[in-house]
Order: sequence, then C-alpha cells, then structure tokens
Amino acid sequence: MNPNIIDNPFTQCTARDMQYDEVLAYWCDPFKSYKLDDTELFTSKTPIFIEGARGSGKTMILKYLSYHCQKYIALNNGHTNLLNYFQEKKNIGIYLRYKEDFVNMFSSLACTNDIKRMLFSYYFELLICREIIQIINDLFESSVLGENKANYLDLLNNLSKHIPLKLTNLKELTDYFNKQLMSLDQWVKNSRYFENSEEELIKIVKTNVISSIIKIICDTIPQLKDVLFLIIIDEYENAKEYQKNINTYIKKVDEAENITYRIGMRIEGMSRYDTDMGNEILQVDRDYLLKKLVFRDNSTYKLFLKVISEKRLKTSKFFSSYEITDIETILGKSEDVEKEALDVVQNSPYGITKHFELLEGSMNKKDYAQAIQRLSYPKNPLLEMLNIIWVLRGVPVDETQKQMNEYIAGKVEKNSKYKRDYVDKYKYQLLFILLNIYKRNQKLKKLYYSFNTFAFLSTGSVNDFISLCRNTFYELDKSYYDKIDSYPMIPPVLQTNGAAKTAFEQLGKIKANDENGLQMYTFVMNLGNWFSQFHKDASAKYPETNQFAFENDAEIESRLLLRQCLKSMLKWGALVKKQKIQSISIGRRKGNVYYLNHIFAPLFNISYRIRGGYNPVLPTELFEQMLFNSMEVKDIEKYFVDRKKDKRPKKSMEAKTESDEIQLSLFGEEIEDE
Amino acid sequence: MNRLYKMYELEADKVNLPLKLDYFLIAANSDQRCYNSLSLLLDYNCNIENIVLFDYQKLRPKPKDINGVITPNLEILEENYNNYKNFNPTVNHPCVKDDDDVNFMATMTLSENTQIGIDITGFTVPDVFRILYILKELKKIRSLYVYYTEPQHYIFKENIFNKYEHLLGESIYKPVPEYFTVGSYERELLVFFLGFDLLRSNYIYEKALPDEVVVINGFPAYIPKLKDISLLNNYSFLTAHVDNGHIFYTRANNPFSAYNTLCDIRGQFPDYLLNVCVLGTKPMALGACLFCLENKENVKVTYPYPQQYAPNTTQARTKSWCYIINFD
Repeated sequence: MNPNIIDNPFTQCTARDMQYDEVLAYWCDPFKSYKLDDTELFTSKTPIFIEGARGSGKTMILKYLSYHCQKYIALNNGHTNLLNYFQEKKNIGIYLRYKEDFVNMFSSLACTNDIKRMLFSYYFELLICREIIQIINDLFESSVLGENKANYLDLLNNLSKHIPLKLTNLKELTDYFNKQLMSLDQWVKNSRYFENSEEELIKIVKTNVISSIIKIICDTIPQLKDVLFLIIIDEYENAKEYQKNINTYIKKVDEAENITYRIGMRIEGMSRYDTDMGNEILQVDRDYLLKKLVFRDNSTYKLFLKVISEKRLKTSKFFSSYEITDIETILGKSEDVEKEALDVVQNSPYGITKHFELLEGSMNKKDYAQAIQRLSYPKNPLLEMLNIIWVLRGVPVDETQKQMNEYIAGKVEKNSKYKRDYVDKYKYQLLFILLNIYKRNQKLKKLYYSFNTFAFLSTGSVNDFISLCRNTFYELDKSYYDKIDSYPMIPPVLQTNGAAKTAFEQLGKIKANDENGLQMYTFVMNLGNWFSQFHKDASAKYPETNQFAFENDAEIESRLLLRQCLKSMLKWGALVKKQKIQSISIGRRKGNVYYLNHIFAPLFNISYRIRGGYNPVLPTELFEQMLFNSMEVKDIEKYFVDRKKDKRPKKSMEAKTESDEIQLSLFGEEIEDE
Repeated sequence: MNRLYKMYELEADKVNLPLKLDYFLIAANSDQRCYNSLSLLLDYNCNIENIVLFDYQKLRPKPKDINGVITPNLEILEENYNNYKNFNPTVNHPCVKDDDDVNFMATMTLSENTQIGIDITGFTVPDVFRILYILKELKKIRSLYVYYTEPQHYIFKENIFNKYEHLLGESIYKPVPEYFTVGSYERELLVFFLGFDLLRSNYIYEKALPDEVVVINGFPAYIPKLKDISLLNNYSFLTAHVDNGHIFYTRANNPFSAYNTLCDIRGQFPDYLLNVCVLGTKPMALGACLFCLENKENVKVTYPYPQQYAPNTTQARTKSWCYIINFD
C-alpha cells in the first residue's frame, strides 16, 4: 500500500479556509447541538451577536447564513429562479470578514483619529455595497429577465440618481464601487507624502451609502420589498477601536428599514460598547441579542464531533473504500488506563513492585514485606496504587486488603468508599503517579488517545478536534495502512504524538500573538508546570488539579495590564472560564473558576478532566509574577506556605475530617468522565 | 514585457561597477555584512558623493532581549554596529520611529537621473519595500544599484535548526502602508516567502485569513541545507494549509528569479489579490518589491512586525552582489 496516495480527511481545518460550496459540503447542522435557533438567526430584525470560542463554529454558521451558501442550497433543491426563492425566504445575508491586517493598517497612518474613522467607515460601506450589488445582479441573472426587465431598468435609474454615473447595467455600479475602493487605497499609500491629504479624503468619502442602496433596492424591486438584508460581520474582535463605528451602525438599526446585523466574535471580543451617537452605548437585549455558542452538554458535543468526522471520512477515498468512517473505530472509544498502567509496570526493568517503595519509610522491613504481599494485585497496578494511598493515609493494611478483595470479587456495597475512590476519584491520578515513579527508568509520558480523550482535549472547539485528528493522521505510516483491515485503530503512541503536536502549535500561536502573547505563553508554561507537580504528588492530596481561581477578581479587574492579559487569555483560548459561578475552592466563597485549555494537557502530562474539590487560588501578586517571569514550581508554592491553614504532614491523612469528605463529594457533580 | 536583468558579483566583476554614485544608502547593523559592499566600492575607487546612514533604534543591540535574556557579546555587537563611523557618512539619520526613514527621504532632493546605490543587507524587509517605493513612486528614480552580501552561516541556538529566531517577541501583523490594497478583488492569495522562524508562518496565516496560499522557498539556497531547514521549520503550516502544487522555488540570491516566480503565480491566480509576505532572504524581498511596484493595484505587502529584531543571526560572509534595477 502506497501511503502517498492516501489523503488526510482532516486537512481542511477551518471554515475560514473554505469556499461557500465547501461549507455546505462539510455542513453538519449545529443548531440542535448548540442552544441556537436558526429561524431567529435568519429572521430576527434585532441585531444578533454570536459569541464563541476559537474554533467553535462561528464562521461556519455565519457563512451558512450568507447569500452564497443559501443560493447553493436553493439550486441543489431545484430552485432556479433565485429572485422568487429569496422573496419567499425573506432574507439575504451579506458576509464580510474583518481581517486584522486591515485594521492594523490604520495605526500606520499619520492622520487624525477622526479621519481614520471616516476612512474605516467608508471602506465598510463600499465593501458591503459592492457585495449587495453583485448579489442583486446575480438574482436578476437567475430570474426570467423579461418578467423583471422593467424593475431592472427602474433600479438602474434610481441608483443613478445616487451616484455620478448614468448606469446601463449593474456591473457598472460594481465597477464604480471598485474604483472608489482603489481611490481609498491610493490615499492610504500616499497620504503621508502630500499636503492637504485629509481634505482630499473628505472629498472622496460618502456616508449612509448602505442604507440608501438597500432602500432603493427594496422600493424598486417588488420581490425584495419585504426581504431583510442581514449584514454579517465575522471576526468583529479584529475591528478593535473601530468597533465603535460598527456599533453605531448597529445602534441605528431601525424596524422600518430592511437592514440588520449578524456579528460573529470571540469570547471577550467586544472591547467597546460606545457609538458615535453621543453617550449612546450598545446594550444587550435592547440593541442586540447575544447568543453564546455553547453545546447543550458533553454528550451532544461528542455526537456532533462524530457526525463531522463521519462526513469527512466519507469524503476520503481510502477510508470510505475500507468502510471505516466511524472515528471511534479509528481512535478507540476511550482510554484504557489500566492497560496503560500495566504496560508501564511490566516493561520496567526494576520489577513490578517499585511503587510499593512509597510505603518503605513508614513501616519496618517485616511489615513492609507483608504489605507488599497482601496489597499486590499484579493484574492491576492502579489498584495497588490505591492500596498504597490508603495505607499512607492511615488505613490498616488488613482493612485495605479486605476492601480490595471485595472490590475485585464484585462484592462491594453500593456506596463503598474503596469503589468510589477508585472509580470516581483517583484512578486517573494514580496513573500519573505511577508514570512519575517509573519514568526514571523509561521515557514515559501519559498517552493521550481515543475519541473520548480528543473530545476532551478539544475543549469545545470543533476546529481543535479536527486539528488533533489531522496531526494524528499525519503520523500514520505504512505499518498502519497495511494492517488496517484487521486493526483499524491508530496506535495510542501515534495519537499521543498528534496531540502533542497540536498542543505545541497552539502554544506557538499564542506566543506569537500581538495581544500579550509573551505574557500568555509565560503564564501557560508556569501554570502547566505547576499543575504537573500536583499530578506527580504520590499522596494524591489534590488529584488531577487543573483549575484555579483568583484571590481577588476585583483587584485584577482594576489593574489595566492584568485585566488585559486575562482577557487575552480567554479570548485566544489559553484559559477557559467555567460557565457557572461556583466555590473557588473547598470551603471558599463563590466566584469564577478557570482552567487551562485542555489542548495543552499533553505538553504538561496533566489531566484533561474537570474536577471539583481543591483549586489553587492565586493571589494577585502571584498572577502578575506568573505573567511576566518564568518560575520554578517551588517559587510558586512559596506564595502559599504562609497561607496554608492545613499544615498536616503527609502521613496524617487519616486526620482528614468527615467534612472534607462531604465537600469533595459535593464537587463530584463537576467530574466529567468517560 | 521581457527584460534582461543584470547582477554582478562585486569581487569577481569589478569592470561593471559604477564609477560614481551621488548617494549611497546604508543601514547600520551589528551584522558586519552590511558594510561590506560599501567597503568594496570605496576600495575600487567608486566616487560616492554622499553616504546616507540610517541609524535605526530598532536595530541597535540591546543589553537584554525581549525575553529578558542578557545579550551575549554585547560589546562586540555594539562595536560592529558602530563601524559605520569608519565610513564618515555625510548624513547620519536617526530613525526612532518606523517612518522616520521615509519621512527623511521624502525631503531629499533627488531627480530621476540621480545615481543611487543602496545596500539592503542591513535594512529590514519592510524598510526595503518602503524606501524603494519612495525612490520609484515619489522621486521617480529611473535606475538604482542595489547591493547585498550573503552570509556564510546562519546562527541556530544550540545548533538546533528550529531554534532560529530573527523576529523576537510578539508581532503585529499589518500591511506596509505604501503597498496597502483592498481593491476590486474579492479573493486573496497569500504569497508567503518561507523563513526560518518557527511557527511564524502559522501565526501569519491565522492573521491573514487568505482564500488560498502559495509558498515560495529559496532553492538553490546559499548553502544546500537551508532549503530543507525552511521546509522543516514550516512543516505544520505546510501540511495544514498548503497544497502540494502550491510550493514554488526561487533562487535565494537572485531577486529577478523571485520576480519571475511572482509573475508565474500571478498568471496562475489572475483573479486574486496577492498578499505578499516575505520572511525569506533580502534578494527575495527585493524581487518581490520590484514585482509589487509594477503591480500596485493587485498586490498588497504585509509583514509580522516584531517587538524586536535579533541583533545577530548570521556569521561571516561570502559573496557580495550588485543588482542593477531599471524602473523604466
């Protein structure tokens, strides 16, 4: 089998890369999965903001709303008269995406801010109007011209009154808008080199072009009289300080007019609410509706990923020829942590009892030897690890052995603490501890593989899931393809390599970012290394710690740079804020809790599951340090030495109070597991 | 239109050197290569009326880099940087802000027949684009001698190829204003000249949001392995976003080769706005600049402006070239 002829079904990662026909080819209806009403998106006269994390599917949805995608749908369903089709549909979407380089260009201009804003607005108007006219032209071309000729001529006539041209066809108007755009480009290129440049620009610029053009269209063409023009602006966050201009257009949306807006933006993408209308600001639920792209639940998200993956695998000649189009078959359903632990221990050159050395210091030789004998269960080193933890916490060896035996025999009570500890609380953490013990003898890293794992690592970002698959598929070689009939599952090691590559790519993007990229990178590295230490803790005091909170949210909010850094991390997906307010740690107040984007888990060998229980709470001073300085874990932990109320040594785990146990289980509902 | 191009190796081809230059433009840099062409011209008795030095704040060696790491061999770097004093420049123009250079040049009295030489070795890529724009579009210069000296080695930290860093810290991705175009095109093609900085291409792609991508790699490169290093350091970008048929090659030291490649690309993508982003060599940047000056309405030039430029990313030198540019 020649792997060179095998395509990677996950190479087209983002909707941004896709043409409109490709958007439809890859389209999987997301509306039921998200809490999103597609009818409202198409028909609401109130402007709508769609807020979603990086890779959550905003662009896919916005492009879907656009004329070009809807046109393909119409044609595929046999509607050849598009004018009538959109008359019935009652909306037309005009898609525009703000690119960051366009907005950054303004900072290079040597002119006043008012002139810059005027320039920005006129570019916006021209780009939208050009697109509108091209769409209208397309609609006429698809209809029976004879029927609409009079309307077409009326339209040309009415539009001619608005511009200094006598139009004979709509293409001439498109050309006019293009010439206007080129005039603006020329001004930008030369503005710093000639005097009176600002006056020259004022001569070129016109205002309210969009509303005028749309009004003429709706007044002239009967089929479009009641059609709502959806102006779709993607990547709104890129508009930065010029969001004020866009906000003004949104604020001016009038029930009587046929214009409204659909805005796509990232989390924390809205940096201003003001407008050019005095003190008027944009207010949610008054001037616009805010729709957050959040999956209904984890199961819905996973189902959505399966559907998307299936669609992509079916387009692959290779995988479809083998009828392997279920991503769970290719990645595996979920990790087998017990097998992973067994492999680690059995492949160790130091024998299979090295982890029992944790007990050595706490008992005499004879008791130690007996403990090993009684607590061993070579078939499952994770159970052995739990036994070790229990004994370290003061549970007698006899009792531990009894609990283990009952569990193995399947005779435990429903609420058995041993079972709960193993199944619900510690199993995953025990593997990290085991890896840390044995890694000195082997190059050992946690394996990250399976559909379930990739779903978790992607943290709700469809794009990240696709990237994980893409990088994993790039790891495939002849040895996999030759055996695909009998063993279609990609080896865990290759999946782990793919996951690590994806994590590294994302970290690189964050570091190169112009919005506090270096601070984001530094914080992620510090936080990841610190969490990694928790995972290595042999006492499993705080299992799978990967969340944190701030000691003083208000203080961070009041300090510009810290606030900006935090906002950047949320916007660019370095951190995720949990949706619901909850206790920031055991016995603490309610507040915001954050976690490191799970995509980074392979870099730091940490868990990707969300757990309740203890969360480190960062003092503001520490947060600042972690943003600007690479820190050793011991230096981070120094901040907590004086703050620790509980200074019990490791061995006195048996002194854990009943209340601690209750609080841990209260957070149990937060656990998201297989 | 077909034209013959002219390029000469300075030390091998003295007969084609200019006898007189009215102005010689040079940027101070701690990379010693940047003074080599001027030194050779003076040795060969070229009469240079005015040496105009651009002293860019951004290129001066700093005691620490953007990551807080102390700059090794700072004294040597500073000494190298200040070697411009040996040439007694007639004009020493400090450039604190990015556009100080072109603002200054806009005031220079130049006519279409002024004989100008410029050594692009020490300038940054965006500065090359901007200065040539001034010379051609505003000063209407008809021809130009452009000089460049190749490095012998690139410096890779710890001798690991993917640890090359020329652009330090955060970047701001934006157009070079003199080449900004929205124009009549609805679709944009990112034409990306590969460099060595790891993951920089991914960053640019994320910011540029192009409809299509083509990449141009230097081959033949200055030394054979460099072609593969640029492919290696851009691997994730290439595999994720670039079709196999969209990888082009151009000689790393020949700007006219880059120009011709861009003409080919233009021919293959006639309905696209070309977004040209050069992280490759300076000769490539020169070639791209010439192309962009001739196709102003359907190209734009962008660059990931870094917080800081690494002071010394190359070692030693090999050939010095003279490219004779005719704007007619």
